[in-house]
Amino acid sequence: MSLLEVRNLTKRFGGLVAVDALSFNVSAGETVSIIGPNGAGKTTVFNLITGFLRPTEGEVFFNGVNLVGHKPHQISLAGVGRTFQVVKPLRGLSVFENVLVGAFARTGDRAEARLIAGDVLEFTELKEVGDAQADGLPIGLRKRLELARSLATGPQLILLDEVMSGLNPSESKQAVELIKRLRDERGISAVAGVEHVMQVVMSISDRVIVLHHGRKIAEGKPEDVAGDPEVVAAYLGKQE
Amino acid sequence: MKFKRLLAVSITTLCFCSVGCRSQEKASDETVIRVGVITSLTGPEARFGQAQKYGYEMALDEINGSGVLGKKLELIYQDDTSKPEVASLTVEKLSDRDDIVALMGAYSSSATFPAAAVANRYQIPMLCPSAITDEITRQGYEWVFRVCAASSDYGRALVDFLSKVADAHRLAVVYENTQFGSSVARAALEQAPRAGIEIVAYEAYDQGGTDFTPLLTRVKSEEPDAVLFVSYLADATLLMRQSKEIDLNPKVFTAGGAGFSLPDFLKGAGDTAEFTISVTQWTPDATWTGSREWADAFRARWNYEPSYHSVQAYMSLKILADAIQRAGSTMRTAVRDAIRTSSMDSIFGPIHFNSVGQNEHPVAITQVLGGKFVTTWPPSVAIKPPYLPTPQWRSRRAITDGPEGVAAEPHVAVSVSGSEKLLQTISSGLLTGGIYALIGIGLTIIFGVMRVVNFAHGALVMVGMYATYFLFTYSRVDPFLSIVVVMPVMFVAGVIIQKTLIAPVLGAPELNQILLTEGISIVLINTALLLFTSNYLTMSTSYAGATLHVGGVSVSKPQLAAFAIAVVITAADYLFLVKTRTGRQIRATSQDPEGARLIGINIKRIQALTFGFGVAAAGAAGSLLMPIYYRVEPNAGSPFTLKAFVVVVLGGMGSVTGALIGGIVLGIAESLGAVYVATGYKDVIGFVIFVLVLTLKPSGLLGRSKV
Amino acid sequence: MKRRASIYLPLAGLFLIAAPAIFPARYSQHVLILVLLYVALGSAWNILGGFAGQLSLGHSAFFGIGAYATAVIASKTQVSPWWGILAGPLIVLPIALLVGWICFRLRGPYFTLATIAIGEVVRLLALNWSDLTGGAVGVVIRPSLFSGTGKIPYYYIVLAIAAGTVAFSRLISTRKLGYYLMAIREDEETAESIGVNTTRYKLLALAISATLTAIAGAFFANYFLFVDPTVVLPLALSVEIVLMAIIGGLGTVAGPVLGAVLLKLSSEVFRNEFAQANLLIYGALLILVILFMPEGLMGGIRKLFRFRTRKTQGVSA
Repeated sequence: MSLLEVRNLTKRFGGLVAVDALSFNVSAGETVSIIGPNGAGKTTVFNLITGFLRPTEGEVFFNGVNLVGHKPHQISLAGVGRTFQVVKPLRGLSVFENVLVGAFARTGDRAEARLIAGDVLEFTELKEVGDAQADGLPIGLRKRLELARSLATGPQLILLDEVMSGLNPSESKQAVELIKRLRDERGISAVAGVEHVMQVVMSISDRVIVLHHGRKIAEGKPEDVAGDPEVVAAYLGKQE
Repeated sequence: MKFKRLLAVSITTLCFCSVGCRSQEKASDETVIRVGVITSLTGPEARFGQAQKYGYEMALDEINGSGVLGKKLELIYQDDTSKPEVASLTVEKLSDRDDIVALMGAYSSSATFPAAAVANRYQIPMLCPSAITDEITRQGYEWVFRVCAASSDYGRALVDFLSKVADAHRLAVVYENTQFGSSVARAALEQAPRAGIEIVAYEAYDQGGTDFTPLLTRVKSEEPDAVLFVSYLADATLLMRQSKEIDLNPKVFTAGGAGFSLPDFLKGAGDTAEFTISVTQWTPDATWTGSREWADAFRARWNYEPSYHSVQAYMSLKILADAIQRAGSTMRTAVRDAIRTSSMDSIFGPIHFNSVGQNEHPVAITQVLGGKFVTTWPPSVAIKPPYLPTPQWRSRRAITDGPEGVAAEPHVAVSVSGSEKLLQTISSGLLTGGIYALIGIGLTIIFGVMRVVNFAHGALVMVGMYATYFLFTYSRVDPFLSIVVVMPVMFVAGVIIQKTLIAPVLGAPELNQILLTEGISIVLINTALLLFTSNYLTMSTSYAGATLHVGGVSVSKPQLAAFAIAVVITAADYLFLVKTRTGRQIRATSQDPEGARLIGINIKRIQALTFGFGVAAAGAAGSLLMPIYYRVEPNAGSPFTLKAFVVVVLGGMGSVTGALIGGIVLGIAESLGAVYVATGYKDVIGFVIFVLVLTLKPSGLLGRSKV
Repeated sequence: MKRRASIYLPLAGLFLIAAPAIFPARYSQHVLILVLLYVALGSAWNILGGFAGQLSLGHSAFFGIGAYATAVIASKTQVSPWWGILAGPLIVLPIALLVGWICFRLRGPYFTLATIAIGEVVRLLALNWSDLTGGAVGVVIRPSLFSGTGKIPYYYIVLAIAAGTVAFSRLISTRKLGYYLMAIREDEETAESIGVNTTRYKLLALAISATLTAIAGAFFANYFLFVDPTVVLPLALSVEIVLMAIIGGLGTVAGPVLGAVLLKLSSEVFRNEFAQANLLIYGALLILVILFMPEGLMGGIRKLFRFRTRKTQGVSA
């Protein structure tokens, strides 16, 4: 059985179809990339899965349970973590406290939560900046904090919205490394939304889904998709 | 961090202790006798505090001319800031000082009632000069004495007068919902059946009302032949003027003293004050020995017409000095016992306290005749007989030098049809709504562009009112014309305020912004208090009270003009925002500040301009209020702040046309509520609509929800 | 710092316990009682306003209902008005939940305006529902349990209430609840995304804050022995409570304590020293503090310390 099963997911804003009858599966321990140019509907898909938006049609099954109609916090507690495209740190809190809030999803006990947070900081290599205030961090670290905070809630699946945007090459490399370790060391599935066709990302993805105007135009192994003429056309048409 | 806090606690507390201890040390001084005086030096009742202070000072000079027990009296003034809890606090403080023999005060019933309880608890004699609520003497206090007559005396005198002299049997009671107002109203309510008087209306209103036409419409529809108003000054003036505007014609207008018995009432209400009957404790023409001479001395010293508040304060201190002299001691118990056995003839009549500490002071009834308070009842003290029934408003024009020229005419009961009542209600609501709209517009554009909720808005309206008053009084600029001056000046002031105070906090949490504007409000109000005192400044235009009668509906001409101008200013604002370059920039900034910055709009300039426009609109509203509100004092604008919030929310924050609609909706809703539900609940209706709109349609009645 | 706090805390406790003996004057004790009352009010408000970032300007409603519960017990029943300390919160609780249900649909200034409206509606109801509340005349409460003359029992009761409120607020700030509230304050969407039921926790914060405020209100009625709408329900009271938290430092445990001590004492000193100008000076100071110390006194103190910690730790980028 798939961990996540998206069936016929559709979202219309007035006359605009943002997501059009999208279906895909994610298995346990799998890393999937959703790629597509800006405006393809990736963020909308994430918002639909995590309950921030309500789908016009379609279902989202997670471990066999339909998530549609549930509140974001319920979906988070069910084991679906997420990050935001525009990072949203809890500004007034320190990095450690940001992660601690996430950890409280797993336990009400302060000592236990601190242990979890400490472990997550270690895993995400944020330990040195643990005491720094979150809004003072450089963008690369803030992106990582998004992931760390979500990771602390103990998800089985993490939705990573635009993990790479705004990062310089060395930061990108670190991020890719982290996503890889997520799967390899923690067995957590991930769905990464990526704007550009990036070899680095492709390389760690088990599977790639290509979105264009809210529709899935291709799905498959990274190397197959990269050569798909429709995908190439979609990108060339959009990008200079 | 904790230790820091605790350190601070201890240090500040120690500082305050040393302040407290310093005052204790004075106790050893033997050459003076100290008396604590609690009164309102700031806040809405400061004007009465001032009147009391004049009285105390007169008494002090007299007493110290001869001395008491060979010593001089010294008054320790304490400001209760017109708040009951502060009045109690001052009693706590003063009663704790062994060198203070007795207390005087406070001014208002609300402040005196809890303060008296504290004085009694700590066993310090307290003389209440002017608080009339019956409750004070119903508590069985042994240390509290009241020099003035109580509200039940007011009720008794009024009811006797109405049944025996005025032959009135249908009484409408309208009172401000305060300790004072409700106690007098209740006294009348309790006494009425005894004299065969039916209470046909019993309406409370929130003090500081801005429009009484709905309330008076409700009263009018009950067809009373007598009306009793219980109000302080601000409302007294407006009640009479608006009674004329809506053509309310009972046989007699009566009032429960306070606002209706002050010299300022004559000035503020102008010719509408004529024939008004009021209970009073004292008038400058009182026949008690020395009374008139005292009034002359008072005028000479303060250049101010004396009112009974001054006399009561004066007498209270005189009674105390007499008691200390007789007691031969400054022991509090001895002084208390001496006060209890006071017996003297005074300019305030005979002084004698009964078993509950009440001075059995007779009240008199005055009538305004020829622009003066004349004692007309009871016959034993009357200077002239009362003039009854009161002439109809329409036949009063001939009266210039007193009523002698007008023949008494039989009173004609006027009935009001249901549809007339409804139309009257809606039309007054509509007109008031126009002003609300103008105040709301200023607030809404400021919010739209800066997301700042401006708590100083009411205070800015007040500034506009003062400006208009001074332009009218010293330069004879018509209040409506004064807008031409007031708006540009207020605009500049607004830009300066924005640049210096608002701009620095635009990035701060919204609560900081709110509190900053609250700080501006406090500063503006208290600057006005220091500059102009808390006295009402009243003005009267040649067209004051001019009324248009359409069918059964009366429309005040100044109010109609104000409404028209408010609508014109709104329309101009709208056109400005839509048609001009700056206007479009303001709208762009309001919709999307980031986007506006990106396309090269100078946001800082737009924010400053917008604040200027908002303040100018508030100022214009102040100008328009003057010809219909007639008076200004430092707190006059305060009720409008909350109203403006309601208007803005109803119309949708940031929308000029929305503010117009919102203002009118609020005006009409309040008016309907006041007439058909109860005047006391009129503001509840406003707030309930407010909360409903906020929760159900946060974008306002008209607005589309934001994407 | 921690070690020093452990020395200062018992010292401060000792000082607070001994305060009535150090300041025997009744007036000083009265001011101390008021200060502690406002410490409780500021700290209670801070749980909702400071931690959860829900800026209520309607807390006078909860204070007033607590006070009126006491007054009604005193005037309509034979039992001790001190039961108001229990009854006040019990009545306030469902009202607070209703208020939350209405107002938590709103964000930012809209929420604040709605709370103002709620406070005013409660005031107007108290003013007009005179059968129950005595209307504008108010209710005189006869002293029970204590004679009403000695300040000392009242001092220790309000000390217990204030210390309890501050301790509770401190406890919350280090637990899951506190962190969840702060997460809501910083970003509701983020909070939701990591499993925080924002609606439930906001309601919880309001319920705690309102309940503690009602307890303070019930104490006030028992101490002041008089209740009327101008005393216990004015908008100015809500504003004053908020001022303390802001001036002291929003969202910190110590901020409202500091703010209450400073504001109450200074307004007393101003009233005594500056006569008619006292409110003008108060307003001007308020403006200055907000302009130059936007994070309140605690913010200023923290900046000093952060400067030191920065140096030692550095920020890796």
